[in-house]
Amino acid sequence: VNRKTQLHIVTGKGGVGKSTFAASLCQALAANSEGPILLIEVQGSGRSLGLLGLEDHFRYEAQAVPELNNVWASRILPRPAFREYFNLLLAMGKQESTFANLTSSVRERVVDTVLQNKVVSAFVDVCPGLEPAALLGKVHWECTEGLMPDSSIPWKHVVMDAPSTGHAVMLFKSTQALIDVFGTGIVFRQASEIMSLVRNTALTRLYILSTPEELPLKEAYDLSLSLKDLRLPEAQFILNREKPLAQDNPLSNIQNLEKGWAREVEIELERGAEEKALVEEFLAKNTPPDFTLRLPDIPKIHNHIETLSSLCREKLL
Amino acid sequence: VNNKTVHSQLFLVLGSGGVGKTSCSAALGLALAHRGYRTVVITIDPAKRLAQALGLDSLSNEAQRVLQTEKGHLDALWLDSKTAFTDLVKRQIKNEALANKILNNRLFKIIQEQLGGIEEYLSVEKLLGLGSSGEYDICVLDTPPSRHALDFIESPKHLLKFFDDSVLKIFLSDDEEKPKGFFSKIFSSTRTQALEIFKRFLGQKFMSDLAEMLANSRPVHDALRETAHGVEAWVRREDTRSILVSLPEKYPLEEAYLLGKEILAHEMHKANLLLINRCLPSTLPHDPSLLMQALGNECAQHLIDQHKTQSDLIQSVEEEISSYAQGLACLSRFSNSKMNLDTLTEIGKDLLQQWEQKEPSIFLKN
Repeated sequence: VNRKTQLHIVTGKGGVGKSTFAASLCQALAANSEGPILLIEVQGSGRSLGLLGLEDHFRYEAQAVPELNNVWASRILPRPAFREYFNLLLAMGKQESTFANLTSSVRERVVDTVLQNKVVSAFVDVCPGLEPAALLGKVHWECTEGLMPDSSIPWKHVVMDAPSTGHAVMLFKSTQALIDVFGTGIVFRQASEIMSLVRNTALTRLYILSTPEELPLKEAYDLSLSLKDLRLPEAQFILNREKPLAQDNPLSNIQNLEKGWAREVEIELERGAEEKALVEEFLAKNTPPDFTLRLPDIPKIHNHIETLSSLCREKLL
Repeated sequence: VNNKTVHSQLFLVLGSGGVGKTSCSAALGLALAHRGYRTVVITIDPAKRLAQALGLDSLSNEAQRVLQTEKGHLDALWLDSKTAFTDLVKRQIKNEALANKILNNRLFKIIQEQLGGIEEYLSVEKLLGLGSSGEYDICVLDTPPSRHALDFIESPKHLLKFFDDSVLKIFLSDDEEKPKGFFSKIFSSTRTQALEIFKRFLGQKFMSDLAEMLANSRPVHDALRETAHGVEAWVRREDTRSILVSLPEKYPLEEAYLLGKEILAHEMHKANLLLINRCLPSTLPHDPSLLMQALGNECAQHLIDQHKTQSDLIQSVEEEISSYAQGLACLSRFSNSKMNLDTLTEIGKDLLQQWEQKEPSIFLKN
C-alpha cells in the first residue's frame, strides 16, 4: 500500500507548551491539508484534546474534533494499547503461530482470555519493554494502517503529543532495546518497523519545544542529542512563549510606581538581555543553527490556539 | 530503615515542571535554618544558577553545608541522577561477577531505559538515609520531575515489581498445581493455555534472560522493599507537611489541583499549602501609564494582561482551595541577577510567615 502518512512528533521539557503546540499544529495542518488528521496524546493528561474543545478528553478511541473539519483526536494509554498490540502481533505472526488464521472475532476472544489471566496480566504490568512498544506500536499502526473512522481514507497526518524529555527518550530507547533483545520473531519485527518509521526522514518530523529559559533550553539540547543517538530525524527547534521585550526608557519615573511594580520593571528590563544570551548560547552549540519557529507568549485571556495555529501555518508548513 | 528510626520531620515540595520548585525548596530551607532548625534539602539535577547562588559548584552524593546559623544549619544534597541504578546494584550485590551479570543482562538494560523511577528512587533512598541519621530536624524533599509528581513514593514499588519473584516466578515455572476436581481441571487447563500462548509470544530467548535476571537479583529486591516501606510510612506520618508549588497560570494551577487530589487519594494528609510562585503585585499600579513609559507599550500591556489573568485565576482558586489544600500563599517574582542567599532567604521568610498565618503549628519541634 502506498501511503504517505506524515508523522509529527512533539516533545520538550514538561511545562513548555507541548500540548498547546500540538493542538495548534493540528489546526494549522487541517487548514492546509486535504486529508484527515489524527492527534494522538501519548500517556498525556488529555490537555491537547481539551484544547481542541473535546469534552470527553480522556477517551481512548479517536473522536472527531468539533468545528474542525477532518481533525480527530485520541489519547492512548498503556492498557488498551497493549491489548491492541498483542492482538496485532498474533495476527502478524504468520509463521510463528496458528492465530493468524483465526477470524478476527475469535482472535479477539483469545486475546481477552490470555490477558485476563491473572498471571499474564500481572506479568504485562511488570515485563520490561512491553508498554513502550505497545504505545509506539499504536502510533505506528495509525500511520501505516489507520483509517479515518467510518471511512477507507488513511490519515494524512498523525500528530503525536509525546511525553516530556526523559519519558520520550525512554519510549524510543526501550523499543530499540527490544530489537536488540529479541533478535528474531514477531516482537522483533514489529519493534524494527516502529523504529524504521520514526527514523524515516521522508515521513517523520521531530519538533522539540523550549521556552527561553535555562533548564528548558538545556533539556531541549540534551534531548536532541539522545534522539540523534537513536537516529531519529534532525530535530526542528521551536522557541515557545517569547514575551515582548521591554523598551528601556531611562527618562521614565519608575520611582513614582509602587515598590512592587518598580521591581517588575527592573525584572522585565533584565529579562530581555538574559533571554537573548541563553538563546544565543543554545543556538551556538546546535545544528540546525536556528529555530524553525518562534512563538509569542499569549495570555490566556486571548484566543491563543487560533493565533498560534495561524503562525504555524504561515511559517512551518 | 523503618518508620521508628526516622527522626526528622519531612517537608515535601511538590509541583509540575518549571514552576520553581527547587528555588522554593532552597528558600524554605534557608528560612528554616534561620529559625534554628537543622535542615537538609534534597534535590536532583538543579539549575546551575541556583546551585551557584547557594555556593555549590558541583553535584555530589554527600550533603554539603550551605549555611550555618546560631542553632541550625542548612545542608544541600544535589544528586546526579546518571549513575543511580547501577550504583544500587553494585552496592547490593557484593560479588562483582554476579553484579556484572545483572548489569549486562539484556532485559536489565530495558528496565533501566523504561524506568522513570530511577531518579525518584535515588532521592527517596537518600532521603531515608538522612532522615534516620539523627543529624536533621527537618528534611525538605524537592520532588523529582516526573510524569506524576507522586512517582517518588511509587518508584521503589515500581522497581520492586520488576524484581518481584512472586509474579515472575509463577510465570516462569512450568509446574502447575495439580488440579483436583472437574471444574478446577478445566480452569487449570485454560490457565495453562493462556500462559503458554503468552510465553510463545515472548519467545524462549526472552524467557531465559528473565530467569537469569531473577535468579541473581534477590539482594536488590530486598533493598527496594525496605525503601518502599520506609517512604510510604513517612509520607503518611502526622507531622509530614506538603507544599504544592504552582504559578499564576491556568495549566500549572490545574496541575496543582490534580496533585492535591492525588495526595488525598494516596491516603496522605491534605496538602498544607498551595504556593503560587512568581506573582505580580496583587493590585495594578495606580497610574498604568508609568508602566507604559518605563517598558514601552507592548511589554507593559503584556504585564497588564498577565495581571488580569492572575487575578481571575487566584479568585477562582480561593473558591475551591479548601477541597485540596489548607491554605494559599503568593510569592513575588525576583530578577535572576538577585538570585543569591539574601534574596532566597527573604523569600523563604515571607513563605514561612504567610504559611504560619494560616497554620500556626507547622513544626514537630520548637
